[in-house]
Formats: sequence, structure tokens, C-alpha cells
Amino acid sequence: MLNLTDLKLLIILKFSGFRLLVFIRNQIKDKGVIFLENITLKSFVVAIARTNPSGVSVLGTGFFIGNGLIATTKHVTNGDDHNLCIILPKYSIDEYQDTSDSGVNLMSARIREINPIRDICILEVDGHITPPYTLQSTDNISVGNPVIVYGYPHADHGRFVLTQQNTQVGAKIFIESHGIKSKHIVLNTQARPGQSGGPILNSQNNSVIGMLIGSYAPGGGGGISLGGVDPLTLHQTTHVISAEYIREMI
Amino acid sequence: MQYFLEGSEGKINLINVLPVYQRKIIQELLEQGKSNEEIAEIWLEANGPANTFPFGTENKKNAFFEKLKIEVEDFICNDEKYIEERKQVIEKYKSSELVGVTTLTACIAPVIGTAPSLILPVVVLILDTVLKMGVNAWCALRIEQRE
Repeated sequence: MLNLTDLKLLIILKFSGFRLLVFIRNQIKDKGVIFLENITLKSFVVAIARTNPSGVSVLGTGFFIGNGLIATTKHVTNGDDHNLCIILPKYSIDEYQDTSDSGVNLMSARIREINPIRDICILEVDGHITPPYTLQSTDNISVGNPVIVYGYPHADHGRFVLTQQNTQVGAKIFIESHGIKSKHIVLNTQARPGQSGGPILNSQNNSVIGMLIGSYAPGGGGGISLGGVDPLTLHQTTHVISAEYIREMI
Repeated sequence: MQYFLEGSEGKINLINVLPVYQRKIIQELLEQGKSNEEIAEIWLEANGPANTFPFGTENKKNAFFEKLKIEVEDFICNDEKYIEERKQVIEKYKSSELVGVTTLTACIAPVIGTAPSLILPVVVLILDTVLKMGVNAWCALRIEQRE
């Protein structure tokens, strides 16, 4: 049976401007899990935010990975789930997103798992949503292959626009954090603050192969800021961590 | 007063209560020759891979290891704080080390202002040190360090 939380979630999804054709496969399967079909990856991309007395601050991007769990980066949440929430997308990506529309649909979120070494955080929300894609690994893609990136660039300036970028894998690399190496890929595209936590889709098989974490910057950047922009980050070398590390946390 | 962890010294490896993905990282850092204290600090300060500028909108770092140690010390050594919580943790710890440690972590997390899952490995590493040194010796050392 459809439980109250699932119903609420479904209502939120329906009225949040998705305008999606939602098929509930086999109606509701056991344990109240809703299987959504005919919804593309972008419908499962959310903004991670924190409420405060003056409203809501967008912290970055996240995406559903099943059973009410959402993947994002550790640095987006900074390990603090006080007033943490997700913002469900209001528009389909093919619609004109009204940049003057400040209304948002919020859902409270909690941190469930966190890995600061690999910069991954798993959030939990009420409701069981199973997305129509699988979590794979950067092992499953070759250099030169096309990939799709979704996220909320320029969220540090209050911009809230779900954006798609089509790009290619430029390299496969290991990057160290305190002597521990993790598999990453380089994307040949420029990313901006707010895109951390965005999923990287292998368009050939509808799977998520990684998550955007930032851009190459010697020493981690943060030295010079011109108008709030670190010039060291203005290039097309974007770092993505393999989704296999997300898989081992769920 | 009944000390939390009293009688467990040298008998268990608390690192094993951690989720596999956290345990693997702690083990790898231990194999590099790092101490529990060094690993705990790394865990709290780490913010992803080297030479990468994070594209969140708030890029802060955590620096509350000492505060966390004080809270764990209060839990273990100070019989005037966490009185009710300690009773609960001792009871739960008897049936399962994991439940005991996660309950302790959940008590401390709001005081530190962080999610329990972030500090769980750090609490485990501190407790592991306590178990290796002995509760009384660790509490005495902490008093000495504070003076």
C-alpha cells in the first residue's frame, strides 16, 4: 500500500512543476517502495540547501540514489545537518526556468553516511524513491566518451537554474587525499560553485558513473579572489569522483 | 561511579564496529604508520582530494577535535556530566559495542554541532586509545594535559 509519506512525496513531485508522466510500476510494490519510470535522470537531481532566518541558501547539487537516499559531496554539507534540506526541481530542464521565481519546494534531509577523505556524503529524506538509473563506476567509461553533467552552477550568487552540460571524459586519474588514492575522471568542461554533487551520466547506458567534486587547482586554490572568483579555477579541467565509492556507502 | 568501558580494556578492537567504507580508510591510514590521534585529526579536517577546488557554495573546514576530545573525556571520566546518557550507553554497550558507541556519538554530536556519522570514527579512535591505555590512565593523562 502507498503510505502517507510516499503519498506526500508523490503530491510534492506532481505539484512541483515536474509535469512528468509517472508510471507506478505494478502500482506499489512491497514495502511501499515507489518505482518511477519514464522520468529521466534530471528529474532526480536536487539542490542541497540550508534554511536560515533570511530564507534558504543553496549549498550545492545532489541526486537520488534509491530508498530515499541522496548523494552529494562532503564539502557541500560540511558534515552538519542542522537545517539541511533538499530543493526539488520545479521545472523540467526543457522548460523556461523563471529566474525571478524565488519559491522553492523543500524537504528536510539528514546526513546518513559521510566520507571526508573521498568527499562523499549520503543524505536521507522521508520517502522511498528509486531512480531509473544504476550507479556504476568510472571504470565503465573510456577517455573521449560523451557524458552529461547536471547541476546548479553559480549557486554561490543565488542563481538556481538546473543546467545540463554535454562534454567528454578527458582523462582517468588517481588523486590522493592524505595518502589514500581514489579513482577520478577529468571532464573537459568548466564547472562553477554549486555544481559539486552533480551526477555524471553515461548517456550510452543511462548509468551514473561519477559525481562532480570541483576543479583542478594547485594547492586546492583559495589564494587570490577577484570579484569572488578564484582565477585558478577558470579552466576546463573538472574533477569527478567514481560512483563506485558512493555504492560502497549504501 | 561505573566507568564507561570499564573492564573492556584490551579485549576488543573497536575499529571493527565502523561501517566497512570507514574501516577500510582507517586501516589504510594505520598502515601508513599514523597514530589514532593523527587519523582522527585527518578525518575531521579532510575535505576531499588534493589540488582540487571544491565547488560547494560554503567551503568551511572543521576544527573541533579538541572540543570533541573534551566531550568524550567528560563522558568517560567526569561523573558530573552526561549522568543519564552514560547509564544508557553502558546498558546498550553491554549488549552491543556498536549500539553503545553510536549512542554515545549521538549524545555528543549535537554539543559539537555536527552529524553523528562524521564523528563516529573519531569517537571510535579516541575510545580505542582509551582501551589500549586503560580508562584510569587515559583520564589521568587528560587531566595532566589540561593542567
